[in-house]
Amino acid sequence: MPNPRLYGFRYLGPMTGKNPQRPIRYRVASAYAVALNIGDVVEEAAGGTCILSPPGSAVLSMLGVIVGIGPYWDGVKMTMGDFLPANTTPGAVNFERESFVYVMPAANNLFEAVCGTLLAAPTRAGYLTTIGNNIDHMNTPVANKNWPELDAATAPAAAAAQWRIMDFSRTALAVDWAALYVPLIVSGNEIATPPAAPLAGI
Amino acid sequence: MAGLVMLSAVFNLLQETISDIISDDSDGIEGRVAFPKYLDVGKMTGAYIDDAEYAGPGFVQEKPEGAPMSHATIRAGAQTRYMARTFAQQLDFTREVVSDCKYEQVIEAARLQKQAIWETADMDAALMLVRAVTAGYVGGDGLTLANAAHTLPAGGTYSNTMAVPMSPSRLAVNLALSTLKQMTSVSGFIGAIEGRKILCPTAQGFTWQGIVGSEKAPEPGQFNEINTVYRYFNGIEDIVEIPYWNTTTTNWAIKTSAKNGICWKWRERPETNTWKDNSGLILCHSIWARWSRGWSNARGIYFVNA
Repeated sequence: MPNPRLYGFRYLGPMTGKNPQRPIRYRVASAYAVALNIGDVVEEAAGGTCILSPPGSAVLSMLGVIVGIGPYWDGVKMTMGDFLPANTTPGAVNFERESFVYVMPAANNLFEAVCGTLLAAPTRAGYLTTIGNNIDHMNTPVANKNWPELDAATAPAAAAAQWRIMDFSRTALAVDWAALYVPLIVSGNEIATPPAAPLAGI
Repeated sequence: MAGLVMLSAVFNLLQETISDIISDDSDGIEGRVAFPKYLDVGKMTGAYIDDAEYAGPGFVQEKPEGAPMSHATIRAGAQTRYMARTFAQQLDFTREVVSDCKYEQVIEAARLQKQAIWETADMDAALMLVRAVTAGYVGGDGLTLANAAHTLPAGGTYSNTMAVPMSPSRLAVNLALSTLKQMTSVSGFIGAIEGRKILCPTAQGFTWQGIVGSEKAPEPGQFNEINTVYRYFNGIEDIVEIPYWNTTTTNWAIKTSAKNGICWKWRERPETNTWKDNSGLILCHSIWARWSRGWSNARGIYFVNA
């Protein structure tokens, strides 16, 4: 049975402290050209907004994972949706129409995500050796979906990679280690959650 | 499993514009799962319980006149430990979702989570068959469930897997049942184990109904011959189609009369809890259960890795 390709990064729980962790609200710039979905990974952008986190991003680092989408301006009215469409344009001066996403911080939280590429040694033993190492994520945009997944082909990645592999998934499903979409549990490694933002001068 | 169910997750249910909600049918889920039909379901009383295998003295030897009789012994075999595993799930809704979602069945945590835990249990049970020949998933004797070299306490081995696998047929059942009746017991006797149920992936269900359910032999040209398989089993009720055994369409197995075969032991049956995170206005729901599954006596299954 193939591994299911479940969408995006899925919040498992906190590494410390009490459930539930509360999401943090971030703005999305007017006319931002990428659709944002629940499960997408976002990072800080210059100008006080957040953007989809690209693979291996080193300069600006991750905030976390989207768990909710705020009401947005569809050009006529404020509306609700399970993703924020690309090029949503509230306008720079219409503060009542701003786009927001709700983000579960990558820091000190555990997420489950599937590997979108094969590990060099795609076996249980191979994946076991990746625990405690770092890994970048990747995006595979299709229509309005970004399909953020772990890039196992580059694991173990450099110290500045985006995620730290903590464990195998605790799914009750039988995992096919030789196939795509092996699920792993990760936590944020290269993060920008205040006050740990790595930008110079902060 | 996105962490928190917010308004955006139920965005099209915030006003009454939907005619019907399409979702899984969860009515009577507890009675619909397959695993109680093919596992010995019981309870466990602590964090773990052990089953220990012990062989008796075996066959008695002939004693020459006036000579001393032979001494025998008993021997310990494999010890099988059942550790309780906890399965749990938390489902959190914001206050806004609970207030504004116009279709309660979508956020009915009790129903959704009950289905989640029972389906998980059904899948976890089926994994014993899915992994019956997968290296690394072993029982007390350190061997896979289906193995040609299960150990006997006094030495030697026995097999609970068909040496030359056969696809479903009366002939295959005949071979399996005759092999079971000759299977070596713990102490080394002929165990006279009987077949009890046919276990199969759903893909084989109709095939087995013809084999087990026909009063007369179902093969063309043989319709006057009695169907011994029909007479042996209690009709098609003894066929158990296992939905989550879906990694194969060709394997099948027979559940036998051997005790302590594949078991399911509840430590805590599913329980639920709800609480509020008042500062975040979040309503939390949880369900959990604790169980262990495994086998102490691999004779409980006769496996065909076809």
